[in-house]
Amino acid sequence: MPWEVGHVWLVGDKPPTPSQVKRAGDRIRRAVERGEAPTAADLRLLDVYRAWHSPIHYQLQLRVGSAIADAGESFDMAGVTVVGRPLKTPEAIIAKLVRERGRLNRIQDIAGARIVVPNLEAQEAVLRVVLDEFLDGEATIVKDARAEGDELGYRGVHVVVLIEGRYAEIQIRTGLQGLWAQIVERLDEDQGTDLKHGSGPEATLKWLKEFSQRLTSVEYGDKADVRTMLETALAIFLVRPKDTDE
Amino acid sequence: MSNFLVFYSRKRQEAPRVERVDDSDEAVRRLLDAERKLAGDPLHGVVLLVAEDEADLRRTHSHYFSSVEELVRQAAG
Repeated sequence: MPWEVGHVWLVGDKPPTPSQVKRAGDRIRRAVERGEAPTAADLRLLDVYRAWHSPIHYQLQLRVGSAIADAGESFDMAGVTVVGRPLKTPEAIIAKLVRERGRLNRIQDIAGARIVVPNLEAQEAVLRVVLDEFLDGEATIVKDARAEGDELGYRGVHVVVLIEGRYAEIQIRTGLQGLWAQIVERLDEDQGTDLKHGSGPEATLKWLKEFSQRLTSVEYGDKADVRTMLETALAIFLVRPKDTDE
Repeated sequence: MSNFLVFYSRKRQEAPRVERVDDSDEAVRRLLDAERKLAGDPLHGVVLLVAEDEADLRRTHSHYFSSVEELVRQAAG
C-alpha cells in the first residue's frame, strides 16, 4: 500500500535498501564537495529515508517517557524533560556526510530525543534507565563527555539504540550542559559560524571552552565559582565575541 | 505528546512561530512540505519537535526562542 509523506511516495512500506541509501549518500556528498547541487532524485531518496525513521521515533519517545516515569519511585524525577526530534534536517545530514565523509546508511542520529535533567545525579539515573529500557536494542553509549567535556567544551552523554532496524540517538544533558550547547547553537545561527564542530574565531572557541570549565566547576559543587561563571558569561557573550576578535 | 513545527529565523529578524499538529503523519508531511518551500532560503528554517507541551521545547531547544543574552540571563536566574 503506497503512502505519502509530503511530496514523497514510499511504495509498499518498504524503505530504500541499505545499498540504495549508501549510494545516494555518496552521490550527495560528492556533489557537494564538487560545489554542485545534489540531484532531485537523491534528495527525494534522502527524504524517504528520513521519513522512514519517524515511526520509530514515536516508539522511542514513548518508551523513554514511560521508563523514566516508572523509575520515578526510585529517584526524584522533578525537572526531567523529554523532547523528541523525529527527523534530522537534510542540511545537517548533508553537512555530516561531508564533514565526516561517512555513509548515509550509518548515520545514527536521524531520529533522536533529548532529555534535560536538573543535575548530575539525575543524569546518571536517567542514563541507567535508558540503558536498561533498551537492553534489547543494542543500547550503546557513543559519547560520554560529562566530566571533562570534549575538545570544544561540549558536555553530555549520548546513547544510540536500534529499533526495528533503525538507529536513534538519545542525548542526556543537565540544564547547565544544555545551556552551553544552546549558546553555541545560537552563536552559530547569529554569526554564521560552525562553532559546534570547531569552526569559528579562535577567541570564541577559547571562550566557550573556558565557559564550559566554569559551568563544570559549578556543577561539581564549587559554589564560589557561580559568580565567576556568570561574570565570565556576561563578559563573553554580552560583549559580542565577533567584535572582540576584530 | 504533541508535534510542534517550529519556524525560525536564523538571524532573528522575526520571532519563531510554533504550530501544534496533533497527527504524527500529518506533522511529518507538513515538515517535508515546509522544508521544500524553504529550500535555498538561508535565513529561515523549520524543525519538527515532539513534546508534552510548548514549554518543554523552550527548555530543551531554547536557542530557537532566545538570544545568547537571554540564555545567559535565564541561567543567572
